[in-house]
Amino acid sequence: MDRRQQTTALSRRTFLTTTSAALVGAALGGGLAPSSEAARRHPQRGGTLLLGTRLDVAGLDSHRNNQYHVSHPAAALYTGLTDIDQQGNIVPGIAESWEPNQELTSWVFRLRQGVLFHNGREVDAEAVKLNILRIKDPAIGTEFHHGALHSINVVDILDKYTVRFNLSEPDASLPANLLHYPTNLLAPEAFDTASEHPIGTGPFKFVSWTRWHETRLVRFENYWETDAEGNNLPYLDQIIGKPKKEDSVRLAALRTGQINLIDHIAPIDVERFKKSYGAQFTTWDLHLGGVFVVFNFRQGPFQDQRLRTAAAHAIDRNAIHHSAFYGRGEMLDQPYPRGNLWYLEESRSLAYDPDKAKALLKAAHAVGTVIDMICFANLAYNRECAQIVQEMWNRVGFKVTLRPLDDVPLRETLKKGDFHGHIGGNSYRFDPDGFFERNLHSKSDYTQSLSGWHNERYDRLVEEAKRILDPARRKELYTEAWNIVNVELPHFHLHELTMTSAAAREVKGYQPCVVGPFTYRGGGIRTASIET
Amino acid sequence: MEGKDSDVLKYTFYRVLQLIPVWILLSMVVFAIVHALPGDAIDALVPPDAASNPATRAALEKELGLDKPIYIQYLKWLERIVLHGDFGKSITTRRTISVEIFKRLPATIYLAVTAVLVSLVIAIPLGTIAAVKRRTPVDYTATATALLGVSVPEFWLAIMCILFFSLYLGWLPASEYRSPFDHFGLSLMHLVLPAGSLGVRLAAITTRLTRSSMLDEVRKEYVDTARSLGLPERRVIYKYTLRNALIPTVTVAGLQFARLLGGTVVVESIFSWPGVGLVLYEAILGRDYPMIQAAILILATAFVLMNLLVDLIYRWLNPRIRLG
Amino acid sequence: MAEATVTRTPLGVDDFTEAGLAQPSTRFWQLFKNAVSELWRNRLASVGALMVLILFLVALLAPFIARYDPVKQNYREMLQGPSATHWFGTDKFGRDIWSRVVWGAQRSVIISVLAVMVGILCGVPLGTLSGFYGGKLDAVLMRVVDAWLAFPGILFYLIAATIIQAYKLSLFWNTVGLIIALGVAQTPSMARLVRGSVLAEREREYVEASHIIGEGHLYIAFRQILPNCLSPVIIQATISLGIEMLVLAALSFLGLGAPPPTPDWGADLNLAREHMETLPYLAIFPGLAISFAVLGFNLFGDGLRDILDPRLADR
Repeated sequence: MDRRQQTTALSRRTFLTTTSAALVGAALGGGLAPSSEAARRHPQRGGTLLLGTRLDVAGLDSHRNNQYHVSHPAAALYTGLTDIDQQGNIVPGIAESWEPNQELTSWVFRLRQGVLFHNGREVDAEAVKLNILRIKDPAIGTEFHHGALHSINVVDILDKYTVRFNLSEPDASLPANLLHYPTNLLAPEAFDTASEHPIGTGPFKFVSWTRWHETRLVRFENYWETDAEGNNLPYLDQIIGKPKKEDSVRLAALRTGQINLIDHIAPIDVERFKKSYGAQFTTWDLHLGGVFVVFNFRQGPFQDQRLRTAAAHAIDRNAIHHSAFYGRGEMLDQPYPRGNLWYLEESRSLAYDPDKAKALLKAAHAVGTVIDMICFANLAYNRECAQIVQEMWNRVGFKVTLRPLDDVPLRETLKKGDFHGHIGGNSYRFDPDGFFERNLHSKSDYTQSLSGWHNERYDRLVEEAKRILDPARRKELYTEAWNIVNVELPHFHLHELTMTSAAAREVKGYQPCVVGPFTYRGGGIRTASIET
Repeated sequence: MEGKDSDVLKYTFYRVLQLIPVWILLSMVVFAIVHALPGDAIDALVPPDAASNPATRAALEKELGLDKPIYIQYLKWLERIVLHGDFGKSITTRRTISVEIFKRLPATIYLAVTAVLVSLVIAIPLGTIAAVKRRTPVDYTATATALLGVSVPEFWLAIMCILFFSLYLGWLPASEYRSPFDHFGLSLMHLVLPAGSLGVRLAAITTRLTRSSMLDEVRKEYVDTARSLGLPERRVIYKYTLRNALIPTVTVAGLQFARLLGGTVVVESIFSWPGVGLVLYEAILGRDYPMIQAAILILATAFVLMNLLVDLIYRWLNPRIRLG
Repeated sequence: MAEATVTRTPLGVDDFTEAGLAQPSTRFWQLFKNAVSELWRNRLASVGALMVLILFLVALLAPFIARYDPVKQNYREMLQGPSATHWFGTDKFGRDIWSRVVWGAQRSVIISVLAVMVGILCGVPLGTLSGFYGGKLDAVLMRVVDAWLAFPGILFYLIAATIIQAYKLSLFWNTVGLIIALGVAQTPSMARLVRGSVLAEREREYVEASHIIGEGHLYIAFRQILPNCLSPVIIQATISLGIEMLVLAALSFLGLGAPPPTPDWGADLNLAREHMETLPYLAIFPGLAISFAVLGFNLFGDGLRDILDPRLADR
């Protein structure tokens, strides 16, 4: 069970300047079936996937709402310029190759020909440009989207299938940011009706959606990916997404056969399930990301560093490890887990020391400070971490009120900065810049909607790391940057997020990506079929 | 009684007329929700990106009439709903609210109807037996069970049912909704637990009612007459007494159905039953105020109408009741 | 419905005796003594009364009988079943469930009692005035009450919860808001009930006598008529206590009651949902607590109905 996979920056670099992109493409069977031929289907593979997830999208417009490719069934509607493979490496998607200039400030992407939107319109450079502009529109794209694309300044159309991104600064992580999560493509003529009927480029087409009840998707016949024998993907005839918030209800539905694939089993149920039902179901243990405390620098008592430090000292990660995660996954003080290339051994973070915390509060005359904490109501681990943190902060002398919030109110509250502390989670970032910059660089929209932190030295370190290829040097820079974070505390990491996914034996040809996504190049739902 | 029919007609007319001020009061309360919240009304009524953008904010305020005095706003809001059936768009999903709600109304109705039927199926035999065998252990057991049924929170009962019937015994699915038009048998299987949890509680109330109304009926003169005529006891009870005794029972069942239209929120939430109750609940969690207003108004209107309908049917059925 | 014969009803006097015009307090003491002896004779009602008593005692003594701090977490003791150290076991945060149930009782009792009181304080004067004056005032007030009643309870509570939730309130104000919302929802049924009784009492001879003597209207309405109409109110109040507890539990279960980590039966049931299969005891204890409380109120209220108003009793 090797669930921690590294994205090796070095091997990725070789894609950029050689033709190995094409080689990889061929190995994955990524040739495009000419649209003049009828789609060639595998004779025996098909079926309906009943996908039970713990979350559901807040809205269908993929630029206004994240389509999380781990827990949102609607994510099957989309692909992007780049894609990931089962190990989490960035591989070609709709773009078959790309090339930066020397300074990494200008990137030319070459699109595959004949890739179609669900409405039949071809994906061309103009469509890509319109999508990027729409995502960057402050009235439309979320902060998360903006954080991913903030280095893109101008988009040039060089010819029908060639796009050039002119960046405001050197950025080696651009390909990782153009992944379908969050940068997916919608058909431009359907922008206005995206909330009603989204038109994407993914392996499945939209049929219907009722929030928290059902997402119906049907196979997109003109999807471009093929398997090694030249059969068109996907095999499945349709996907019915059945979001179920409660872990126990979702698991029961899997066991009773109402659904045949779920994204998440509650940590407390995993061992028992594997023991009792391991024969009838396949399970996968995945690394998902991390959970952390966000301190708001824009307003409130946590603008005082002594209080932040006290709050950090007050937290015993063991409580979180046992109560919220039931011992699964590891306690972390940084975004990447041990064993990952980007795990920073030299990180020095604050230890659990409640007495010190109390002393700090007393010294700051801040005993009894009221803290307004928010968390995400729809995820059990998030709520539970919030309650644990709340109690530990109360024990050292704070007075914490906790407000669990739904998607839209949470986004709004974060944006307005109307909170003091927040329990945030991060998905696995395929390039470390995707975390260290997107979440913490002062110019990132995403940072501005979380901590609102601004540290010049941190910014410089991260910017430099974006320009360098050598992973060892990058790691040094990130270590120094992270040690600033450990002192200033815009974030305080708590724990790894893991997930155990399970499928009934009738689901063939499926495994999730090691970091969670159910849709990725050459696998996942694209190669799944139901055995009858 | 002379003129009885015309009395009932007058009563009907009077009640229907009364409906209007009642509904208007209702609509005023629903309208006022948004204005009772902290902050500007516009923030509650349009998606955040539109509200925070100064250009669009002003335009939207004008469009919604928020710059006008409050009674004008109310009238505009009312006009849109009554004349155009336009409840606006959900802030969360940005889709048309009326479509969303009416898509889900059948599921709630299906659940409510079945729950009431279940409750009648339990309550009528149980209540009758308890009445016939009153002051015996059978009666006490039935009464105690009834009282217990009313004391148990329905969501706890639902959870226990899921635990037992779905997980432990594996007989029934734990959550889902299948439309009866898709597959009747399957839809019934999915319906058993949610309708059962609701129905059992209703049954508790209806059992006692059946029992006491049976006891009342049995004491009436015509029963003695029938008995003295030598008619078999069985026939007396089941053919005559029961039929009359059932009138209040069925009336209450109708009222319970009306109540359920607003009261299924908890059960729908537990069973992921895609009805209007669940929509309302999600809207509250998501601070989707236009949706909240629409769902509450629709549910309350349905309730008021059902209430009226049941009341009128009762009066028609039972002319001995004094009108007014 | 005025009966000319003098029947022994515990509440209410039918002629111009000294006792009839005597102060309410002596009358109440009389009927209290009567009620207790009647109660003793009615088994189910006694059980109910006992259950209610236990509930109130637990609620009152919560600070003393809770063995641990209900919000204190201790992951080292998490998810233990019932044992000598933790009578009801511990939840996933290591919190003692017995303590949470006991403090939850206090919260439930306080909120329900205050809510019912609000309902009485608002509904009874409303109903009395409406029934006493009749005419236009009655017509208008009753239309308002109709609309009020027309609102399904749950919707009303949800509206209130929505509004309360929108203000970032401290626990105290959150609770106050909840009490007011629940109480206001009770008001119309109280008002209707009182109005009915007042309408009946209004026709009695002693009322006419008081009018003739020249007593003030409000005096007649509130000091003379109202005390005679209280039995249905008492019965309704008792049953309402049970209903309010269920409503409160349902609201908390939906996440619209107290913010975490307040010990609250409904909220704890919600938490227990996640572990239905593995740890059913997490759900059983709060559920039993609610049922115990509500059953007690229902039995007691039923018994009161038998005692205070024999005309409604089962024969």
